[in-house]
Amino acid sequence: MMCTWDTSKFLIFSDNGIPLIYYSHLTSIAIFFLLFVITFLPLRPWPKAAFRTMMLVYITWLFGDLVLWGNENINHILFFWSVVNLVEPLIFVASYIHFVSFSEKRHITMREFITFAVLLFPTLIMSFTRLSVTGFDYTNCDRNVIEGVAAYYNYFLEAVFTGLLAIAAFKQWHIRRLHNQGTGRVLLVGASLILLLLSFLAANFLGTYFEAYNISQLGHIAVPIFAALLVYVTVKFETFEPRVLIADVSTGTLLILIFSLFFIRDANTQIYIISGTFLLAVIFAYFLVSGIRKEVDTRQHIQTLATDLSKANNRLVELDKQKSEFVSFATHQLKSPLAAMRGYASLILDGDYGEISTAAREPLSRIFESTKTLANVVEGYLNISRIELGTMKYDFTPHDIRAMVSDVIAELEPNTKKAGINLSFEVNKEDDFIVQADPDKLKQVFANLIDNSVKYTPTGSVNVSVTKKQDPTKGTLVLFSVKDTGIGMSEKTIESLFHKFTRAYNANKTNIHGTGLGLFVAKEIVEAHKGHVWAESEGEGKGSQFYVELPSVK
Amino acid sequence: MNSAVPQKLWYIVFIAYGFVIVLSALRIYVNRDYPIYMNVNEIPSTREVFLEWVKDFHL
Repeated sequence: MMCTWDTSKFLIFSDNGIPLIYYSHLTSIAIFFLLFVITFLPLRPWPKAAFRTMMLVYITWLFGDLVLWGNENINHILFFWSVVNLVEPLIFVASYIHFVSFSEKRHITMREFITFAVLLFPTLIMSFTRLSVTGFDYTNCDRNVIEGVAAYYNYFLEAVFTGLLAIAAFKQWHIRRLHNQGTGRVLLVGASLILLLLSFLAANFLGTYFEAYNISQLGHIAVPIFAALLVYVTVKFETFEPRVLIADVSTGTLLILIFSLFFIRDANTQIYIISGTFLLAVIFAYFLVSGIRKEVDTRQHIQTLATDLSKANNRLVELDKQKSEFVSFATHQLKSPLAAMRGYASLILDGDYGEISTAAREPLSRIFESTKTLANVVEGYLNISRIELGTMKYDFTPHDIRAMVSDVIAELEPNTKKAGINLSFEVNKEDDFIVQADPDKLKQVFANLIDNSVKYTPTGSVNVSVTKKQDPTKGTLVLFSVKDTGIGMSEKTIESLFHKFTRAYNANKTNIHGTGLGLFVAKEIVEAHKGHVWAESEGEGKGSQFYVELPSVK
Repeated sequence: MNSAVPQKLWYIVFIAYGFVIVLSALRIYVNRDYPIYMNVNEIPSTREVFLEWVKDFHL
């Protein structure tokens, strides 16, 4: 019997198959090849091995399928049928591995490998037997391979792997939801892969069961679109923004469809493809234009808000300055009467105005102590307003830290003895510890740090030391430290300790006096000396250490 | 069982697939023993082919 089949060129090009086959298959091969090349570009790291395998297997499958459509040689058709049947399940396996390596950031385990190997082994065994290729149907000049059990086994495998992928995607989505992690990327990668596989299955199913080969090619066109979406989501996963995603994917799809017009070999088919592409272009254009309009509106709105915010900010700066000036003024006004109250209370207590009764001594002592505390508070506020207004004046001259610390300790010693705290001072008397300093300001810092340690140490000791250390970048440094066995601090407290109006969480347990300004002022003063102040503690109840590091002039 | 798959096993998989493709080609181009049916009535059903294969264990 003479059958008039066209002789194919390059195994695939002939008039034997439907014209649309070149449109769908060659477009897909071109896109998959492009995606395969993309995996070698130096983009951000993403799991590539399984994806590359998926692309190569898909290209092999598409080429094999083209041979089945276009070739007239029985041997070629039989061979490529075996190959297509052999590699088809691998697309599904590679998809699963890609999903696992992307979403769970792991390679497949031996257990999974063995499961896949057991499932795929029959396809390997069957592919060169009559269970894969039963024979060749040449009746009525048909060119069909008679498929055997292997083809049905493949359908079963494909359903199993798609199911496994769906389960893995659901599991990941559920886990991320429980842990309040973003589910968008996992959903998109999972959905792209499942849609990719379903399009592939649908394309084969429609063609085989309804002989609707033209419609089934749409499935093959959808596959690379989903693959491109998959690459996009995988590569751009850290800068994921849904609106940008929609715009990019719409443009990408449109480009793919326009590009695919190169592969149409039949003028009659062209009109359908162009109509479809045009319709999609209209829909995409609508979304893109409306998206851009929204974007422009939002930008204008943000611009207006930014202008308003800038005005409000300027006003706030002005108000803040006025507040600082007011605080400065008010505290200055408080200072003089306070000094008078403190002075007279001291004179009365010392007996300068005659003998006072024992009953009156106690309230007078309290008045004296309270005015002292109040004077400290007022001084703190004054310092803050000076810092904020930028009017804090420094007079830097070379000074020995050891002398300053000794003075401070001598001033604080009576109080520490009264409180039963052992205050010690360690310093190398042979060495100098000269720094460029404003002595009054720096003494204020040391007094504040030592006084703090004493106040927050109900029992135990406070150890003060001054040493020198070498720093590779900063040179010679003078290090002042205060270590106590007091109430200690948590890491959270340390982080905010040098902020304005911040006191240790457990500070009230030991001491009710404190404004939360001392350490803020200390930090400002030390930084003005080009130094660094910080605190350390192993935790609450484990003592604290405060350090001041200043550049040495020698 | 939860350990990673050694690289060697992947090579074995690729080699196995390549080997099977070569076997398929040999059977088609060298043996040429696949039946070509010119008459619809001669074409056996999938079930018949499967049962025959099981019976003969004919590869």
